[in-house]
Amino acid sequence: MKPETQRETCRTTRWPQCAAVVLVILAFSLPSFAELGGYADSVEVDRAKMKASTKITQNKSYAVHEITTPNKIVVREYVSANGRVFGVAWRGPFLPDLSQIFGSYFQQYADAVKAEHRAYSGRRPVDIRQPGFVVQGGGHMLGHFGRAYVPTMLPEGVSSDAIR
Amino acid sequence: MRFDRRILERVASALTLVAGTALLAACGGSSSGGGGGTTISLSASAAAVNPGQSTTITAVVSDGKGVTWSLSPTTGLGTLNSQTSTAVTYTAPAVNAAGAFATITATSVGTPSVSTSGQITVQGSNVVPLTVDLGPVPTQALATNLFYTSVTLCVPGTTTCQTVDHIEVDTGSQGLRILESAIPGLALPQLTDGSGNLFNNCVSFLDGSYLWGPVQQADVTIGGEIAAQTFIQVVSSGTPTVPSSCSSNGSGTLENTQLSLLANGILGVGLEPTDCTQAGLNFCDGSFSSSVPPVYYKCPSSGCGTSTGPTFLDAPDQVANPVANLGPDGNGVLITLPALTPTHQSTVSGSMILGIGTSGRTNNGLGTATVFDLDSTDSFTTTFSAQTLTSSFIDSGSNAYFFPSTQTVCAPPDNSFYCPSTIQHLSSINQGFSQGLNTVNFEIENADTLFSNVNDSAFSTLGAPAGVFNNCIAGSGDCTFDWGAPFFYGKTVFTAIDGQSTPGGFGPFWAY
Repeated sequence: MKPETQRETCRTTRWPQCAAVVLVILAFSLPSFAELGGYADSVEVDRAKMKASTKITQNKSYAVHEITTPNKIVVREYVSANGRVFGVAWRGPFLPDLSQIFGSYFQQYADAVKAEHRAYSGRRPVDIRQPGFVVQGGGHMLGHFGRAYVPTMLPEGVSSDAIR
Repeated sequence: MRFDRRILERVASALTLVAGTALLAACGGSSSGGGGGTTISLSASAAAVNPGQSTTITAVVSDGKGVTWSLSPTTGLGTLNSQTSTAVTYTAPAVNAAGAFATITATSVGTPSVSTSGQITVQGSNVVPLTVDLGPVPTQALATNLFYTSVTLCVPGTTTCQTVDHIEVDTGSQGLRILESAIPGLALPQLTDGSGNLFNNCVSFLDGSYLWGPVQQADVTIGGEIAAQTFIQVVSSGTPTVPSSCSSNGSGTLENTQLSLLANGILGVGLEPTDCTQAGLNFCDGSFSSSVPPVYYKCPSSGCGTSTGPTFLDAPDQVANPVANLGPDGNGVLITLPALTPTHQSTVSGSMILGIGTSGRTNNGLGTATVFDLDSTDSFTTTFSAQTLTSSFIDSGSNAYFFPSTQTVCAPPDNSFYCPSTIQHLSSINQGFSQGLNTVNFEIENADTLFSNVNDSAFSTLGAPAGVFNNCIAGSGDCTFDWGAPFFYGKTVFTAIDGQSTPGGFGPFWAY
């Protein structure tokens, strides 16, 4: 399928409201998750499980790869200009495969939630901020959301607020 | 309607089949005794009735000669009327406190040694007491804003039962989940695939906590009503081997103790009929996509492996919202709790009332409540502090108001709550998908000050941060206002089940 492109001229230099936005919609037959900290072009492809659509939105400093799984989980991966995944956000009826999208950061996530685990006194959102890894999120049964990022990998001028 | 009628019809027909089966199964089958092969099959127009209501039981006899009817107990639990050789009407007592089973027996006229029986669930009081207190293990940990009730579980069709207290009432989930350690010696039937494999159920969250254990069946009594033959999750004790897709690759925490769960179980009475449906779609029965969610697992009796993957499971066998199995009162619930004066209390008493505007009831109408219908993620929109939060919801299982704001966050260790220096009088506007619009005024107080009342369990002004302020774009995690437990104090809040009819329209909806 030919990609359809649309270009708007940028009239202000204030980020992130303005950018030369190139919207490219591609119908991949092999959708995949790139792992946090990994490279967007060397992904772990899970062809048997996912035939989802992928949408890529390009901003000045980064690209957002948005994947929707067959079970309506939306995962957005934030990829810097050098192809590195510096953040990931998700929402959907189930948790995404966290070991897959956190990649080498999964163990840090696992250790952090175990350390912060306290007696369950009602469901509460997660807000774990470590120097090298942040994970936040919450929700309820069939309504999960969250994000994770590596603070040191944020591109110049990009706020963590953009990972959503 | 936004949901897929095909899915609901399939579920509905399956439930009808279960109702019919319940009627037939009470005394072990479709015929008994000798008699040259005469068979009787029974069906009922309703398998469960409210006080004063009737149901018609019909018999089909293979020899065409009809049946005679009898009722057990013979007195005290309703009457049989309008008897013919092929049908009878059972009428429940006008007043009935406790749920019970009436057994109707049809005896063949032509071959009197052949008879068959079925049971009708006669519902009682639809009022379920709720208590907010410090929880089941107050010397070890203090519960905050948890709504507790008791349920009774029985081996289906028997009087082998156990009553369990401190069950958390959760409008944000579906299904009864009970600690295995809370029902010692109660051997409930296990859901199997007919080849010796047992089904297990998983619920997992981002904070690493998860619930894991077998799908079993019970007659569940809530208040004075029985959800007969209801599939529940029993949360396994000890250290079972859990598939990695449930346990977060082994790093999660199985909440299988009173201390970790701060309850003996969870009664999920949310917007959906099972724990795997949403907006008319069933993710776990294979009807929606070929991708299997990490919810149901099938394993041999020796147990699961860490690499066991999830499996599909038909809707009638999924862990059910017990309310959906109540019959006439099966369209939802309302929860009513008093306002707190002062804003923190040691204990609070309230009620959950079963059914919304249902027949034979005068205590569960919508009254002046506003109905908020929902989008396909069961969400409505809250406008707060100039933010349009499009993924908002009401949830008794959250113990605070969770929302993005510029409020002061407490210093550690309470830094997951808000600590304003003075009481904050705040206001939001809630808007449903196509109906429902009103203003909610609420207050937030300093959580550190509130928690200094160490003997208190209920706090109506507890707020907490969730998401980045002013950062909501469509579909992001910064778009949520979670109206948790504090929202319920001083209100009557209705939860209507997806696909069920109420005087305010079809569920799913919230109303208050």
